[in-house]
Amino acid sequence: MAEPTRPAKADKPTDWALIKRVWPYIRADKAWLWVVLVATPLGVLSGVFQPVLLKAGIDDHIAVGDISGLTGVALGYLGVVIAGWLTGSLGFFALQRLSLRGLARLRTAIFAHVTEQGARFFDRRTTGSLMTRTVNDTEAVYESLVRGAGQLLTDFLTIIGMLVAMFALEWRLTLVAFAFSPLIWVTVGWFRRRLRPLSLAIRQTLSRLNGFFAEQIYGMSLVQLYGAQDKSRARFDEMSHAYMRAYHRSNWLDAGLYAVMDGMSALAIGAVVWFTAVQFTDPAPSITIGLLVAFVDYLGRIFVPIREFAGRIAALQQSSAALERIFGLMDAEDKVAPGHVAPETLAGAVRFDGVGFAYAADRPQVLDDVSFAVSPGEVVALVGATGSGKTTIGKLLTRMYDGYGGSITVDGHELSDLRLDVVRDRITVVHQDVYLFDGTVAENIHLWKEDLDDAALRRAVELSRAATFIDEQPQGLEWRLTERGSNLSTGQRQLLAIARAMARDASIVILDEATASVDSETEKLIDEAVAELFKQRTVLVIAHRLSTIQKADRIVVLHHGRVVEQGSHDELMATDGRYRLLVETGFEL
Amino acid sequence: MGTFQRFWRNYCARHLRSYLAGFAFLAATTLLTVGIPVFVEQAVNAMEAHAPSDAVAWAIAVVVAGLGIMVVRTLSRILFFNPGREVEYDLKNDLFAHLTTMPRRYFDKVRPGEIVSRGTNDASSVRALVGFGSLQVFNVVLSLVFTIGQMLISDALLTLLCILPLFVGAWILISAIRRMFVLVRRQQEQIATLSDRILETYNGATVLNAFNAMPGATERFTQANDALLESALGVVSIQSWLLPIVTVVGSVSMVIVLYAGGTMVVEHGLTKGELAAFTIYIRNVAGALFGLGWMLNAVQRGWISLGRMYEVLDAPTGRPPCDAPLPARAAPGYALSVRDLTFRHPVLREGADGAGESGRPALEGVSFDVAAGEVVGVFGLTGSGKSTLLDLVARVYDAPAGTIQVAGAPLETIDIRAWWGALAYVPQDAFLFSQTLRENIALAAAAGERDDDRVAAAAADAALSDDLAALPDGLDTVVGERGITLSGGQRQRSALARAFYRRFDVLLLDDVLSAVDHATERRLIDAIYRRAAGATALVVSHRISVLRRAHRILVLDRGRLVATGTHEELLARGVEPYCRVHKLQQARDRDEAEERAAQPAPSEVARG
Repeated sequence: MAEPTRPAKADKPTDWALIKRVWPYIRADKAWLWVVLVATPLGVLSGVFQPVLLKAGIDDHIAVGDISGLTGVALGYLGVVIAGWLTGSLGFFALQRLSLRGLARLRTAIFAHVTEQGARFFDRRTTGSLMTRTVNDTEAVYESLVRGAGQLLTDFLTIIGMLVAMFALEWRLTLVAFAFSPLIWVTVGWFRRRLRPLSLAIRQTLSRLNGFFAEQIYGMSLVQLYGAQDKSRARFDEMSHAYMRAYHRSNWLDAGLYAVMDGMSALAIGAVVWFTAVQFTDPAPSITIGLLVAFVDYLGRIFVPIREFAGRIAALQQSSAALERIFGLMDAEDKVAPGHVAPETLAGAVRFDGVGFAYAADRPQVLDDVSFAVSPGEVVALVGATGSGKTTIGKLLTRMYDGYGGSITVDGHELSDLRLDVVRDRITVVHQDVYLFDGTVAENIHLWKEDLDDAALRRAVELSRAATFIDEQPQGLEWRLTERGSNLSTGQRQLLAIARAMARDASIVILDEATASVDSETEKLIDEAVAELFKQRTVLVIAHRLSTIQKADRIVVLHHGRVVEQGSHDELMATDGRYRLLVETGFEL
Repeated sequence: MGTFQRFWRNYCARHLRSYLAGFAFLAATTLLTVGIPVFVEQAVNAMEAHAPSDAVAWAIAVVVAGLGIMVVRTLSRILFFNPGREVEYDLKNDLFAHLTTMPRRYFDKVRPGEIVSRGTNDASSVRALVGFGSLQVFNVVLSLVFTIGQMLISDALLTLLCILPLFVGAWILISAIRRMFVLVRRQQEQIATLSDRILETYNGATVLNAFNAMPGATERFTQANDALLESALGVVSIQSWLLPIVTVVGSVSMVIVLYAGGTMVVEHGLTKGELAAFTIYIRNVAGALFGLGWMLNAVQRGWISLGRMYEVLDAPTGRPPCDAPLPARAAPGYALSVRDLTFRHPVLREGADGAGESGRPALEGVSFDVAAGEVVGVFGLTGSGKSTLLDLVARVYDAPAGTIQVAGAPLETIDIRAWWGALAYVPQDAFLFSQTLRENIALAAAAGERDDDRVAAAAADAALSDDLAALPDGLDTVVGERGITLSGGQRQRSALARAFYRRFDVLLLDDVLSAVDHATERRLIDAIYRRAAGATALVVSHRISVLRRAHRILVLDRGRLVATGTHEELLARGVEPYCRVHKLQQARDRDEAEERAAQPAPSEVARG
């Protein structure tokens, strides 16, 4: 959390590099950027011009009793005010629109980047950190842009514009008004220097406090069971107190800065009035009342931008820190090779030849010299204890992971050469525990694939026997699943997993059989569904149930990443080996 | 207004003096602020009258007022803001303290994220109400009363003419802010939806890719992203066009002052000084009205947040009074008696279709007795109700009255903290706090009373010694979410050490060896049985090697107690699934033994 935000000189090119990386997301709204660049200065100009009109009205018309002239000035003034509002607001709106749309594009780009990564990418990162980059950091960029850059340009132009106008009107009065400016500079600097570490400390104590709070809520049962409530409370109190103390100190500085700047504008007004008063010792004073009023007006306008300026620059730095983290993620890649071969059809012949695999370089080998072949339409059961490597075979076939040794071919094509979308369309999976999305049953089956029509969906639901419970619902396929399918039983989830695969016209299916026990009624339905699945497809079953295994044409027995036995159920039972032991122990665990 | 009175009495009343002093300084600030235009007016009039020395005196008055403002404004802000912080602090502490008394069922019902949000975001809103809100209430009222009063004294007609548009502007501002926060709330909901979509997609990324379904998921993301963009643009429109309205209207009022005031100067003898003063008054009134818009918003939001915090503070524990002392323990540990225990986990959220029937009970008609000092194993497959049984004995959830007795006393009548004090329960999920390992192990120690020798002994018994040597700071290594991530086996053993640290009469272990390797397992089993001597213990496990040494084993199947007996008895009777699992595990142990012989130095398999 405690990123050192030390904007050293060496960081400058980095900032420029960040801008260059952000530019593509803004480019499409280039026209709006022009609007910002034109409208913002115009809006500022209106504010700069208004005191001048005030002076003209007082000195040139009121002082000489020229009401009709005053009318003209007043109308002009009104025009300037309205023009200022329109241009200023337009400039601000354009900038906000620009940044919001840019950030929406950036978020889309992050999302696209993350979702096209392979399984290894996700193994190495927590979803939480990916979420933080995609949601919180982009929000942080926007928040700080709104409070920082959004106003920075306006503030900067306002300060410069008003100073120029004041000097042009009466340079002596300007110097007098800003006689205190070194004092302002020193004071603001003094406050900011003390506030900055404090606000960092506040953020840190708050994030520590909130982290502690959340963790204690998650572990509250333990806290209670181990009688640590009082200790927890004391700890919470201590952190909460540290947070309050940090704030008490920053309150003094905050309030002080606010009040000093407020008083400072009064001091400047006093100085201007004093200087004007001194001029009036001259019978023909060189400063008019109108000029004085104009200056007082300027002084009422210029101090807020000055007060906020430093804070906005700090906010800008925060957004660049968030952007750095975002682009750090965008630079990390772990994709699966896209492949290039796209055969018209796949008959479904699968061949493993001396395949070896490890999930990472520093992790043990999970597959070791695995060879077996499956001919089109054949059903092969992969059997073995937990950790034997049977699940890994499924993951390699669906190309979740790259980098296997040896050769895996489908219809004679090397798997890694086949185009990724072809593999994913032609090889499908029935997952052990179906991952359900927030949505309807239909959505969870077609997964928003447009080429799956209602007829295909209906067929899949019928064949998979999922219709048995879906049709009981008044909304049928439009039945909405709650909380990742918490309103479904284990058996219903399994049927839904089969329906999802059935809906796709795949020639190869990997059936990762569920281990969870279901009642005998549902078990019968699942058996029927599996039997349907076995028709006219190449099926690799990662098997746990004898009833399924017996339906397979052939059985491949894996043990510690190696193929130890192959054959039919009867053949394997005849040899007193690994398979027989598995059968006798019921394939449990 | 019950809530307000409670809130005032319990949290705010003690800061009354701070508020009163703050109010006094605020009044002084306002007077000085109103003084400045008055002094400028006098100075200008003096200039017009060619009395420069008088004008200089008034200029000095302006400077003095400016200096005074620096002091009194600082004090007034401090005196209002600090109570806000204090109230936030008190409220948060009370909220947390209350939460430490709430049962698990409450945390199941209200999502943790929701609770945390009440303790953080809502607490901030209440602070804004008490600090910024109350300051602004008085500030706005005082500024308007003093400034407009002074203006009316100068010239009533001009005042009305230029104040009118300001009030119209304020009204537009207030409705704009209200509208904006409606949109902001919608925006927050859309951020939540978007986060859900992204989270779901990232978690299911490999599934979606396996089905070549990422384009569709991306479409869903894009919809949520666009919806968020749209409402954000709505907020931004209001911010760009309507929030500056007070400034714009202030300028319009300035035009009115210039025109109407100018005409009055020419025709009715309004002084130029008064005209000059009006230009400053308008700025002050506009500022106060701008503050009014935000103040109303802060008050409204703070009020809602206060209600939400009281909702948590007032949530009942839902437990009947339980204050009977722990029964005296005659023998080592306590005798437990479970009679016809049926327990169903409550349905948390009724599905939109009312389809969330709670299914079969987690435990059904379970009855058994455990003698004091007996070690009883509990066996069953996933979903058999083992963990639920331990949760009920530990009163993490409350069993139906009269179904569980401790040394003859109904469990639900016993003082709950005393009962917890007699337990050492290691749940299945080995949760570690983001603290040092030492603090995690000594969780049961009162603050400042940690016995480091006991920690070391507990860690050694839990077979952590080798791991400690490998950790950067040994026992003082920070672990958990924000520290070093331990392997599943290390976490389990740390959780076990946490129980060993405790002096307990009842030991409850829920599958604590599932991720521990074979060699360590034997050492741990020894330690568990050694430590369990002198206490009553329920040891849940999948592993026969852990269970076989128990005095007795309960076999659960789908919530029902199907058999009881020693390891040998269960095998002799052919109780399934016990025998099947026993056979498999024997085979596996044989394999592992062979492998160990083949390749030395096995490494622990970490199953998270």
